[in-house]
Amino acid sequence: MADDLIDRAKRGDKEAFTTLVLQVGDRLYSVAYRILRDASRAEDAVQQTFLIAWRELPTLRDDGRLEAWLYRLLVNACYAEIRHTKRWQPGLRVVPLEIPVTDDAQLSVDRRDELERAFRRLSGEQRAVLVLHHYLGLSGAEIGEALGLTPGTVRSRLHYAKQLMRAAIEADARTIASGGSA
Amino acid sequence: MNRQLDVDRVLEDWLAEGPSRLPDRVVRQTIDQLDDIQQRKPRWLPGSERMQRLILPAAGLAAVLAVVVVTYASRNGGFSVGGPSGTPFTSARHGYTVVLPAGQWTFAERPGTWGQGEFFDANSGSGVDYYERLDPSNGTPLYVYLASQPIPTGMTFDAWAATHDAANQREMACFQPQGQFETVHVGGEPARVGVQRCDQFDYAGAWVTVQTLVAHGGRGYAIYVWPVYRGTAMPAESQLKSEALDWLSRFSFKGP
Repeated sequence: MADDLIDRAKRGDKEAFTTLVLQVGDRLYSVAYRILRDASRAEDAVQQTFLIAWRELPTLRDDGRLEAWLYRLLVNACYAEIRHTKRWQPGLRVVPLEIPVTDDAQLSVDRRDELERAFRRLSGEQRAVLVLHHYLGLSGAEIGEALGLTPGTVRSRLHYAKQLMRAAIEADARTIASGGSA
Repeated sequence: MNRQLDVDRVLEDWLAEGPSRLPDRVVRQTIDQLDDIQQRKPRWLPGSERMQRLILPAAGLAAVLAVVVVTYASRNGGFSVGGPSGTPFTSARHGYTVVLPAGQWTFAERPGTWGQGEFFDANSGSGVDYYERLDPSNGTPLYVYLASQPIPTGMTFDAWAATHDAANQREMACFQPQGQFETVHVGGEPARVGVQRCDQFDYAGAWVTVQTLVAHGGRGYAIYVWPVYRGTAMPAESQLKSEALDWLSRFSFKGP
């Protein structure tokens, strides 16, 4: 990301900030969607992230950390969305999964359902590290830097999140092996 | 291929699915709101923050923050900033004042109005005032939300409460009718206050909330006090009720 663009945005140049939004918006939205599993809430989280970023941008000392800083703002916005979601029973507020079926149908419908259910049981903190690691491909150190966590905390969250997801995957595999629906 | 690699691959395949493009509409809405937000000054400029503290008296700063909160919240329907305990918050649209209990509270004012017979919730309810205290050091992390609406001429409080019960029953089968609740006074008015218990909330099992209905000046008010889910056990009903009653005791109505 061009330092000049960041400098201009820091000084209140809305055009420069818009360019930044266009450069990173898709990435932030992709991450938010995968943490929240809901398009509308992901949009809210991204919007909230950009508005806070605009307000706080002049306080960012190291321009090179802009993207990591944005991820931190985004993950915090996602936590807030999850807190709100958890106050209501999903059965009362119906949330469409909005998962398009891929051409190769690599993941069965049952497996998707299992993964979806397992993922929704994770805490926001566990979801975030799982998505940053397995979707964005960030290392533990990079996640720690982005979220302000120690490497041990990142490892621990990732470990427990993967344990739960693994259990879901294995349960699905057992269902298929025993002749259940696939 | 070992199991560990297989799990990683399944996770990666699954996470790869889903949308990956931020809708243009969201970009436009975001950019449109920038004019309403003042950028902060860099903290490392010599004395800038200190000077602000010296120059702006606390009351003035609180007033500025309040304007920002209300303006922002009314536009965004969800933005919130901190409010210290003891701060009296007055809602012109609902006609009440509440002096917030101990702890750091955030506030959001959802735009719109709450219509009769409409179900409302903390997040998407039109006309909802929303308060939240996340720090557990001053008691149970709580969120409180409320809304009010005119009670039609000729309609009794009981009949109005029944319309609210019906709306709740449509969405929250676990909620009991208010008629069974005890009567206490809120803001000098008799109010129905009771604990609702839902045993099968996803993620956290049993859940309790304190629900209050009260009327003043021809308006009916519904107030809900909930514990915030922090991955730990829910507070005991008696504790939540005690904290809810404390919150309600700080609530007063404006005007006759």
